[in-house]
Amino acid sequence: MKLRPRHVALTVALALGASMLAACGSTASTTSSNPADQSLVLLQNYDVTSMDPAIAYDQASNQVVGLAYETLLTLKGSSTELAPGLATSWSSSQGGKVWTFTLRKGVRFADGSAFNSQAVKFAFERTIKLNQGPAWMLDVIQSIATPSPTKLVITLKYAYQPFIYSLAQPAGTAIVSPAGVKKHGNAWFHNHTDGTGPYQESQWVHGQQVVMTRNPHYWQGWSSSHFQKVILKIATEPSTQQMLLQTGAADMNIAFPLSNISQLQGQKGIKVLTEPGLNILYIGLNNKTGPTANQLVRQALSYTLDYQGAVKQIYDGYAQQAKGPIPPALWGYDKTLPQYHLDIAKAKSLLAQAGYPHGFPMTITVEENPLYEQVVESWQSTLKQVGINATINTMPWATEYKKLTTLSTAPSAFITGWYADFADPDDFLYPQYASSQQGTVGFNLEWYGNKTVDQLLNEARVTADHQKRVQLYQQVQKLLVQQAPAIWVLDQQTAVVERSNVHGYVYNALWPVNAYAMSKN
Amino acid sequence: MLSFIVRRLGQLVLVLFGMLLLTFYVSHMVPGDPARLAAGLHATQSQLNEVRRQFGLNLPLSVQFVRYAENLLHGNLGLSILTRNPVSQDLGAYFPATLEITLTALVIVLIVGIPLGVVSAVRRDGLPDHFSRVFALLGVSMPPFWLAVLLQEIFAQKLGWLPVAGMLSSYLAPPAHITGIYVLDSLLTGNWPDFTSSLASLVLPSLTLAFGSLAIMTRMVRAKLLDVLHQDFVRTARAKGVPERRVIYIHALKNALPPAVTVIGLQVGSLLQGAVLVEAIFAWPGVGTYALQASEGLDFPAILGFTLLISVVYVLINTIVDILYAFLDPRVSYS
Repeated sequence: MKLRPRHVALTVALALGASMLAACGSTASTTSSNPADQSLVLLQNYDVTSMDPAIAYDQASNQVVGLAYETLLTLKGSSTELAPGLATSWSSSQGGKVWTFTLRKGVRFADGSAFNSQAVKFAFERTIKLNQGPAWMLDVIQSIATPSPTKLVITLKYAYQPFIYSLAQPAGTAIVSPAGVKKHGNAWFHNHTDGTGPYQESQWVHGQQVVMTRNPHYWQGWSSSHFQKVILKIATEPSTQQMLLQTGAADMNIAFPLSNISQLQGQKGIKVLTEPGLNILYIGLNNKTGPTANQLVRQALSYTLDYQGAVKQIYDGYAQQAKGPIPPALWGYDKTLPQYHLDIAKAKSLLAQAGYPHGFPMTITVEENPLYEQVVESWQSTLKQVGINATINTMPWATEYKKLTTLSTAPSAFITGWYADFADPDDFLYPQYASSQQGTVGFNLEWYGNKTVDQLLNEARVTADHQKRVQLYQQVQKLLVQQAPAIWVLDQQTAVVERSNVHGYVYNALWPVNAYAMSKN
Repeated sequence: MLSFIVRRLGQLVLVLFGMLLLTFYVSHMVPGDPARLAAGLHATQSQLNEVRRQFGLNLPLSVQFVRYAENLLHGNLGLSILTRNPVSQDLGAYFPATLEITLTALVIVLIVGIPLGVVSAVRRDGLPDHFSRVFALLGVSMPPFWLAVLLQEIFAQKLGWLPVAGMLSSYLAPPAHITGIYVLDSLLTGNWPDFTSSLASLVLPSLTLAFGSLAIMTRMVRAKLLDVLHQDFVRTARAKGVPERRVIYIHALKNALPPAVTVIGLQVGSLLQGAVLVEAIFAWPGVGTYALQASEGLDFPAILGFTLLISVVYVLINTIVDILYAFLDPRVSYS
């Protein structure tokens, strides 16, 4: 029979339709079969950029690094308290200039080679040599000695107490296999892993997912309750993530977008945990030029924000008003600090004292982030009540950052957030408020400078006594709150969403998911 | 014909050069420091210098452009600042996914849009015509984002017939790489679990993507066919006693198709543009996802690579459309 064109078209259409119908429902069979019970599907908001611990410096990439590699120290449970990792004990001498570690025995890399002090020396020196994103954390190291396979001595260029906390997070400090680097070269580690951690990369389908499978040499061993695979599935849209979790196509997300969290509360089969984050949302004020260079003006502005409105209406209650520059979940936080609140009369009186009884025009920059934009829009309306006409300029972060780091283009105010790199108040206070960190050097985008604050921050860096350090940081916070270089808006919570059949997850603001400790039924 | 194709390819080179120059300067004029974005907020000056040196960002803009153009002539699109892979390798990994939904959407537009346009023209003001009018109105007015979420809610969440997002079930390994298009590769290798899963995954994103263009195609075929059906040659054919079906499908439709083909050429552009959004909603790992990530990170080589790729595809499709014209309309000649 000769096929006429319309027969061909009809046949193709029927075949396509039939195949699509046949395909319908096929997902149900694939998701409910055994692999789903033996795997943990973790949702990631972004794709991984690199799997190399010397390069990876974002949340998605750190998740891979956190599963495949281990660090000398870790954090205890949900706290910011140090706990043993690949090092079983540690001590410091010379005020924090020399650090000595005793390493764990019987640990092997995924390639079967042994973990020892030489491997730590190799990994740290590799991070420093590659000189990429997280390398700054190890920049302080002067030399590394390995007196024995289980003894490691690190000498710093100067006494620096926060160093020990920087070793209790994966970026830059996770230990790669020297044998692996020798065999495959550095570039290989960008797309593959070879560490002592429980799960290693087995397949990375860019933009789609990373599949990680068990490391047969893992030193803590395996039982049947452990997952065979951990799948990191990438989905950027919150509504899509929500449906993936509701349909069981994904098991959890430890950083679920807050904008959609209320829609998941109370849903069958879903657990929503909201945990305090190690972050701060703040409005930075220009401390060097314009009316905001005046302390009275900055204090007045601190009384013009509707903090409770931002917490309740914009963040749906998944935040709390900040009290100073560091969040309550971090040690060194001072709960006795005075807190600014919305008080228009007080703001007007302070502005009058500063010589601006009728206000002044000002510019606020904001990156493209709907929540940040809503906070500054709310602020714009309360600023009007004190006679300040504020113009909001929304722009991509890269553009805003360029403006902020150049004094001549820096606006009167900007809104941004800071997330902890490691669990030490130094990481919040030094980069943001030390005068040496102005411009592109650090993150002192307020162009703030105060000799006493500088002195206290430097002293805290070299003080070995923990209690003394707490006191120093509390003094810094008191000074900062009084001088108001920024308006500390709120401490945002982190939303962890998991299916109710997932067990064993322990939240830690600085640590990715420890899938080894988890199970599913 | 051959000289026409050669001429068009020559034009393609000129278009690409212009596009490249424009994109290069516009993307580099955007304020922002890609080295800082890549190295992180804490990066020391030496780290920044290292990243700048690695990606040639320390050189004057004109030197960067000449170097880029030279590399391009050797087929080298440079290294992505974000992923640190060769851009050509990244595009090779992401583009098949975009091609997969775009081509499927195009097939849907053709096999549904043309017959629907014919039916609504033939049964003018009848039930099918009213249906296609409402359908077209919805198609052009409904935002793809809303349609996508609606389809996900009905077919994935409520009925559970199709997956919410992704290109393949998380628990399956991708098929052996032949073209990078999962449905095709799994079919060619006889990998049936992958075939059914990838086909099921393809349904919602390609329908979402096709919807707007489908409406335009339906209305275009209807309008042109109505026009043609009133012409003398159709009346003559009917007077000769040619069966009505033949009058419509052979005599009239052939004359109504050339404008529809033009629409296809233009719609490929809008399908590729729409793919960026659809990919994000359906967690579809295509070049749209890659381009979004690149533009947020000021990843110049990746942005340029993406622009070049899309320009080549667009110009090639429109060249093919022009060639098709010669076959569909004997009055058109490229000699």
